[in-house]
Amino acid sequence: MKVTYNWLKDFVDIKLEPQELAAKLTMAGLEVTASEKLGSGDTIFEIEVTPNRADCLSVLGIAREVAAITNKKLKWSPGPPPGYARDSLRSQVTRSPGKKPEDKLFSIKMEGLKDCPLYTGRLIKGVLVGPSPDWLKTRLEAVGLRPINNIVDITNYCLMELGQPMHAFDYDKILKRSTAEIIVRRAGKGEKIIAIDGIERQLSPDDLVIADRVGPIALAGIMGGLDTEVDSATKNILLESAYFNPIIIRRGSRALGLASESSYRFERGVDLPMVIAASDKAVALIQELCGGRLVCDEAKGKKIDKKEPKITLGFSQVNKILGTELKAAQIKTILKNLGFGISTKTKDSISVSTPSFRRDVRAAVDLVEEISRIFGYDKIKASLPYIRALHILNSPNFLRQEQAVIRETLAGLGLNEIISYSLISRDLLFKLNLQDPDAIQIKNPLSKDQEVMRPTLIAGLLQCVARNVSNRMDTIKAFECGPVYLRGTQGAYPNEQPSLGIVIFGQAGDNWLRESGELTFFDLKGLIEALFSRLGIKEYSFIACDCPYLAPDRAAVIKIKDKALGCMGEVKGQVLANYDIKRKGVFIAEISIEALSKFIQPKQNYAAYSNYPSIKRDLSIVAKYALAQHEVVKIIREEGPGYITCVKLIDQYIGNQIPKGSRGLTFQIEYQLAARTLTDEEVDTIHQKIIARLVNALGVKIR
Amino acid sequence: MPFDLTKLESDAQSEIQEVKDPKSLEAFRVKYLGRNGLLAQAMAELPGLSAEDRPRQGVSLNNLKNLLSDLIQKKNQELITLSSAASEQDSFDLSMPGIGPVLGNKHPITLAVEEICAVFTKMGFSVVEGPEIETEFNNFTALNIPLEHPSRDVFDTFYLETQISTDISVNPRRKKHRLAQIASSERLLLRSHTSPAQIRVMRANKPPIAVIVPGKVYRPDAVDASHLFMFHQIEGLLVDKDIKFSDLKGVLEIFAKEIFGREAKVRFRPHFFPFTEPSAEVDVSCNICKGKGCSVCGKKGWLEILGSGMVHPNVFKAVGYGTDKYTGFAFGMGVERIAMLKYGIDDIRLFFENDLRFLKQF
Repeated sequence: MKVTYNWLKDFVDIKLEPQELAAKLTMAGLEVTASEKLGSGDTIFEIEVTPNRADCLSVLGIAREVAAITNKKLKWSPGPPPGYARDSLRSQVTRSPGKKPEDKLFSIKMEGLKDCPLYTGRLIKGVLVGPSPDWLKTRLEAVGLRPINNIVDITNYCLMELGQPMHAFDYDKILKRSTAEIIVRRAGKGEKIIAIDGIERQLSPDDLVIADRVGPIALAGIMGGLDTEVDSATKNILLESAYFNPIIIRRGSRALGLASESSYRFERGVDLPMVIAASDKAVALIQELCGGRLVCDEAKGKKIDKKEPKITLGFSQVNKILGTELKAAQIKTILKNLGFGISTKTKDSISVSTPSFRRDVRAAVDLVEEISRIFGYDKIKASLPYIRALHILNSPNFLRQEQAVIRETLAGLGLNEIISYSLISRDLLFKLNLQDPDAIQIKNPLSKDQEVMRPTLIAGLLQCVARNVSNRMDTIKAFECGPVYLRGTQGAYPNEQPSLGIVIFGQAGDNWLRESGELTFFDLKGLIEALFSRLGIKEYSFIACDCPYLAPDRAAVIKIKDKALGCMGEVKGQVLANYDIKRKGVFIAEISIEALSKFIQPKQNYAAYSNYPSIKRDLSIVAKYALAQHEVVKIIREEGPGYITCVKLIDQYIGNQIPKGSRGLTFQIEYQLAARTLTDEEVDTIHQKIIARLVNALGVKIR
Repeated sequence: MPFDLTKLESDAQSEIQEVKDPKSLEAFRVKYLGRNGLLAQAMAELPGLSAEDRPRQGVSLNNLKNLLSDLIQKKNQELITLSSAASEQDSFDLSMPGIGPVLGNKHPITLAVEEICAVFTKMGFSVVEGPEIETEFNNFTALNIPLEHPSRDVFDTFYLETQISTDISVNPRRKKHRLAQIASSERLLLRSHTSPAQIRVMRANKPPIAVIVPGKVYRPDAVDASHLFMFHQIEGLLVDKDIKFSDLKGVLEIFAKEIFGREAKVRFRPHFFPFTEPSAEVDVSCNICKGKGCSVCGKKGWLEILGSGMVHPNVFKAVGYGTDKYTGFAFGMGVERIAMLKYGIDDIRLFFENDLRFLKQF
């Protein structure tokens, strides 16, 4: 909303400089977002008006605020156009039909008072359409409106000054179509109108129109029709001023994708008494600037209820909410200056009547806000509350603590945390070979990239890889910790489950001293194992599985007991290609934090360790590829319960010294007793037992 | 004739002087102490000696053996020290980079959320969360945001195709609510702000309430340097007897100074939010231009950081609280905005593009 400094001065004496005024308005809730000094000496203010303050969408409304802030009187008194009796139009407002239509020069017919509680029309004959005088043009241009002709400019001027949108029809153009019968009604199905912007629009019964017997001549409250537009040849005009139902105008404006200065005000609610007051002002200006004579008028609608709603306000209530010590007199002055009516109720309270233009004020707290913003938020002294210690527990479903530990651990292990969008395209899921992904669909996405809620973190991780590979990043170790969204059973609340995704590729950490080579499947496995160890999870297993986006034989399901937590492995080449990733050797994992959380052991009990020396023995075997390493470890451990503290694979050999299809594995076994020193003989006995068992049970050879 | 051990000793003494490297030291050791070395030869002669010479020669031999061992060990030490000194001079460059693990990091939004929450938890607030998928009732109706009202314009919202059936609806009270007739709670949406979590907390707890709610929110906004369709907010709520607007000022002033520094000035500007009354927007002095006006603050000298206000009585009604008994304040802030101001980031899109060149800086 734009206003100028001088225009405001028409309504209130301002002693402040424009910049001081702008600062005061901002601190009273009308934020001046920009101001511009004009060559003429006037200053334009651009003001952000919040949606509750329809009354401030006019120069008059802002002037009223200025008056309240600066404790001045508002200079504004509505009145009929010169030569007309006060309330001539108002007295006609009635539901019952007046004279028969044929007796009048025009008539108004209403289909529903709910859609349009008040409609007025005034016929002005003998106008001379032409350019507006310069003062008028200048003011319109200053507030961002393009001058058109004196009639249209006057309606626009009144709109900006008083906040009431009006429309002028060319009376003769209406007569040319049919009789001058103005009908306020819903559009019929399939009806069309060409508005003054020249665009033809298809209407629906949700749209309110102004029509004659032939069809719509205006989109009520939004835009006039081209067919009855005022032009340079116009002689007689029918001036409309009305109150349209905010919800109807809002729906219509949204459905048609057409917003205007007019619809903006109607959907926020105009001031009912202003319907006639603004029409009075417009008629006066038209008679003055365009010639012409008001020959007849008519109004239809509900009787204007002059009774103003009352709110009881206690002075202590004000101070209790604000933490202030405002006096009764201060409170009363502020409210009076804002246009509220005050009558004393008791010593400690008042009864406040709200003017018609402040229907946003409905309860005592609304008055408290009015008082506080005019008094000045900056004058309210800050205090600190007594926060009673009451611990409200977070719902455990969100696993906030667990996620914090996971983030901290993985960042410590050298991974970078990423956050990707929760809304993704379905296509990204198809690219993972997920058939008919069961993702929650968004009804109104802005683009295909937001059509579903992610059921997996893998898509976001691979997008991250694609982006960074194309930026020539040669190594990435990254993770994301956040929810995935799963559709529940039919009619159930959907599931938001915290999940963990990890992706790595590139160099393991080569440096000038040592070479480490490329990151592998086992680097990813090691990261997961390190994380598990941090979480106190000991008994887990990695079991070969099929996974749509992981390479066969390079995919594992991670299980604790019988519960699957997620998958890890090497991403299929075809999937990498789908994501435009031009490299190989990308390893990825996704683990449900929800499933994992059931096994997290945050508390570790101390276990006494042995002070007696341990004996380490290496054991080298030759085994077929098909024999899994952990089978060997299992047997070793089984054979030496109580004696073996650690079994570690320290080497794998594949080469000429060993038959094809087999590999050499070297384990280091650490023997130790809790209560005494082991002897070499004891260790030898167990070691031999292990060897015998391995040879017999697994068919391995000893190297 | 027994070996002349005196000569042997003096030869050894002078020879070891000439030893300059480990290889000749080894040769020296083999010559004297090796399996067929001189001492071994002398030892082999012992049985042939007379009974009276034999013990004397034996003791002398043993002494000589110990002496030579000592000499070799000393020399060896000397050579090690020498050689490391030499190699230090040749190739040891202490400016070579250290070798160690590379530290990872958390996302800047995670860091900002943690930092902001810490300020409030220190004051006694508890961190709680709410679901991102919400009902229309919690997101709008209970927060005094009527359907088809211009105050909804700033809350454009993503709706889900999924609906929930009434019997498991999360708001048993909604039939009693005066706005409930027009609100259909079965419709699910992606919360457009963290405020619906207020409703959940208040429905599940009686005052006093002091909570802080971080989380993701969604609005169908076209993406540009300052808008995303997904971002993070942190919501705060304090409800008790006698909570005042001046308390809101006090708490948020502490917050602003903790996050933006002691010198930061704070101002409270009247604004409108449907769920608070009175409402205030909070600005901090622009730390780039120090209040003089620059491009970051739009020449205003102030940066808007959060919205706040006293909880609207209609919100209390919606959750079944007595409006005479309790007052409270609520506030909400955009985490990205605060992170952008803190870290000097000028494009919000950087946060979720996951470019490692950006993320590794935090």
